[in-house]
Amino acid sequence: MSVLPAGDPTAAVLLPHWLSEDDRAQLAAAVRAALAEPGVHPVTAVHLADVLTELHVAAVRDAVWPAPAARVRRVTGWADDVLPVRLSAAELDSVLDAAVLPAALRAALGGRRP
Amino acid sequence: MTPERPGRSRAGLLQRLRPEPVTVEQVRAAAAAVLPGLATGGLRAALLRDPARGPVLVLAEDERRVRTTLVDLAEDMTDAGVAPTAAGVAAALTDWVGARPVSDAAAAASGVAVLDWTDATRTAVGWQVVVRRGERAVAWTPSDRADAAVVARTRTSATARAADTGGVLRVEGPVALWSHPGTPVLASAVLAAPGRLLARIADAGLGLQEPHVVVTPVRPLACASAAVATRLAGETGEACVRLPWARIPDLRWL
Repeated sequence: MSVLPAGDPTAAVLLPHWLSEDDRAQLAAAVRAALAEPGVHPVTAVHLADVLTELHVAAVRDAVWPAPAARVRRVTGWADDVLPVRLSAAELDSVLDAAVLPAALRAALGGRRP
Repeated sequence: MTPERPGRSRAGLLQRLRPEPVTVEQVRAAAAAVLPGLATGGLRAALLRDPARGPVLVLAEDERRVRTTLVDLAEDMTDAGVAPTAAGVAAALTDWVGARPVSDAAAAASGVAVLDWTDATRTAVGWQVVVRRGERAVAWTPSDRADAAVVARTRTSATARAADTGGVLRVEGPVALWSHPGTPVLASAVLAAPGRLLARIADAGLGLQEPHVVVTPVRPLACASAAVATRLAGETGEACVRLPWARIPDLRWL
């Protein structure tokens, strides 16, 4: 039995990072700042732009299909504004390498989960 | 020998596990209170006596007839966990009347085309005609009397109404969300005029490259460029259908 996604076999696996609204705002601000740096590597810039896209897509997922995240929040006791933000390994590395993140957010993204 | 535990009665525990039953008398009282207000337009409701089965509730609207005994209704309400109070039973009975089949005339007069799953696998969607009843929308199944011409006319009118159903557009970064706040099932009606929706999205400031729509019946529609739609739909465990804009007109009737 395969644990890879059933669709495109070349698609990167995206892992969820459960972030509060504040975390997501801080992440978006840090990524925008990193993108504005003149020396940002073009590949890193693509990954960072994808992170910004994912922050919007995460909110859309919760608007269209609220039940799965709500179940997790109920079980864990997390606040209502905590959502799964799904990032590929390359996107996560770009954020951790290029963006200046608050320590708590860096720990939340770097660890396997709070 | 196991000593008796004081204060623990087996019957008491069972009683707590079983829902308190809705009685036939409560349904009869609710019918007397609720039905006169609901029987408007072409809908008629009557409580008949059946010597063998007890009281029978009959709804009649155009060619459609629904009959059920009050005993069955009370049992169904009990199974559904309806509160055995006057208000609870009245609300459940109102719901039951609201779920009655849609007549051909009602579908022709007020049907709206929306998307629904083609089958239980929830992997494809198709059009169907629904009629709004308050916040609920009930699907129309053509009666035996409705010939192909009647079905075609009803579907054409429902498609025209669908294009004008309205809804709320919200832009979330690279995604446009389209929802119908009053009746969620009507969100997909807007796809009866996909060009108009795309123009509205553009007016809202979002130009989509290779536009796609992610459809989950009864949920808001998500419209985005191909890559973003793939990211959105590929990473949800929920059933949904991702369609290129050009394929929306190919969707068939259920």
